[in-house]
Amino acid sequence: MDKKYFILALILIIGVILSQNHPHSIEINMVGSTSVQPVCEQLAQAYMETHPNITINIQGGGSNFGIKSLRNEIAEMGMCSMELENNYNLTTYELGHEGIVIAVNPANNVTNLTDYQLQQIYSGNITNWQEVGGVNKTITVLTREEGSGTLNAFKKLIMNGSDITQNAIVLNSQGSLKQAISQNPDAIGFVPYSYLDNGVNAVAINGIYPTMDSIANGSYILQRPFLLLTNSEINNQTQDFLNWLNSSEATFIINQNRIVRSF
Amino acid sequence: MNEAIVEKGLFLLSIFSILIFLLIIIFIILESFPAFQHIGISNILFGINWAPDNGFYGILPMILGSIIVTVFALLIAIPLSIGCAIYIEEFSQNHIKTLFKPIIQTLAGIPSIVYGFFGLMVLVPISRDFFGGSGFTILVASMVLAIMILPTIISLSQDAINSVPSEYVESSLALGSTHIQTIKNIILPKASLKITTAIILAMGRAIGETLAIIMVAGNVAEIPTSILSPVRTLTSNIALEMGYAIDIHYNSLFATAVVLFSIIMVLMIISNVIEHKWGC
Repeated sequence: MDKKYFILALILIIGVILSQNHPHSIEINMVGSTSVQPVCEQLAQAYMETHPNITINIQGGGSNFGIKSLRNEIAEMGMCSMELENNYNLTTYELGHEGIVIAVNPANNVTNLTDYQLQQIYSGNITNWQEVGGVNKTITVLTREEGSGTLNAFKKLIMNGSDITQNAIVLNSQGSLKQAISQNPDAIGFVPYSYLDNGVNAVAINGIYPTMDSIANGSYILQRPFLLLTNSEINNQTQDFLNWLNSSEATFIINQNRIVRSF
Repeated sequence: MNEAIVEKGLFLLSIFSILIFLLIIIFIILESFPAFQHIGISNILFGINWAPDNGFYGILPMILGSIIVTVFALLIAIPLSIGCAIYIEEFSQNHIKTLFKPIIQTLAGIPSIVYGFFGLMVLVPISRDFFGGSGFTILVASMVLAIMILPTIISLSQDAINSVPSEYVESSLALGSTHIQTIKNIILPKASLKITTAIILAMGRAIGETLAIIMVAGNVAEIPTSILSPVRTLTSNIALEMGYAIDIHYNSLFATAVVLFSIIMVLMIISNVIEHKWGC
């Protein structure tokens, strides 16, 4: 009996020791937008490889949750995927801009829409592709769930305060939305620029296609900033991470995620 | 002495699981309370508009959506699964029986996202090609659900058929009825109560299913007008919006959970009543 307890205690002690593989590591917590999260995870991983004494924890929850966590000082950095309306004395570091692509099926012959046409399609006033120069087919409007950051950015940039049509099919991830467009010749939807591939075609907005250049110089209007926020007082480790973001290694990762840095 | 300790320990463990269950209920009700208070019970239960941005929190479309999808799923699944159970138990040879069992068990073990993906990649395009529209329809959602609840009904119906006393079956055969007549007049009536409980259990599973349905149902929060309309269920409503909801929107999602919970509780009670009151 005693032996059993001894072994159990031993296992527990070993477990505790193993779980602290960096006994003196310093933690940086990043909380916020799930859109910014993937690139931050890659950045954090690369950073931690060269800075073994730092641990960066990343958690989603949405831009607003990130801001809230910063103000309550439970995180060192907030990730935010929208323009700040009130800066709450937060310091902003701009990671870059993300283009939002209006995507259609490759079989669709519509290549350009004005922002007004787009607004009319999404508010349900234009329901047939014929009305915007396409074939005589009903438009299948795809959207994201209420609260999604991409949807909010789209609403703000395009919808002008009008509501998205109740007939819009709601999908809960960028992946499934893109999948649905690539299968349906009549579908229209919006996905981040990094999701653009051969399965879907990007539509030009007001004659301008989304490219790294047109997003960088702002001529492609459908875009939103990816921001890292910190409180005005900032510790050395966080500052070092922010400085590192300008390194060539970090720039490479950011570019790879097709996040465009403005000039 | 030792035995008493074990007994107490087991008692504590069983209390613990009940405690967790109660905690969950209390948590859901507490979280939903502000929604019922500010929006009003009838506005939530019978409101036909769901637009949290504009202050509309009616979940009637989702209640109907859940019920309709479940009913159609049962209509598809019941004949298939009971037929399957009868075949396996009454007609198949032993080696076929041993083949069927693992297949059906595997079917039960496939994660729901895989079913959803199958629906999205295969059934949605087929529905679009045949019927037009977006392809995200009640029909597809019900078909996916039907596949998912097949194993539950099949294996429970198999048990039900198995549990019919062999004297009854043998007497019937001895009296000169054919195999089919015996199934129809002896086995099925005798097993029907257990089969009904199986169906109600499957119904509970169907109403609770979320992930697969989100992927194929279109999630439009409108009262569906035909079997080819897109639909949003109670579970999808919670899962879709919980990630970002704050304040009263958040509470209204818990209100959705309370409604869902009540529906499932009612189903459980019905199945228990059937089992105890008329059970064999």
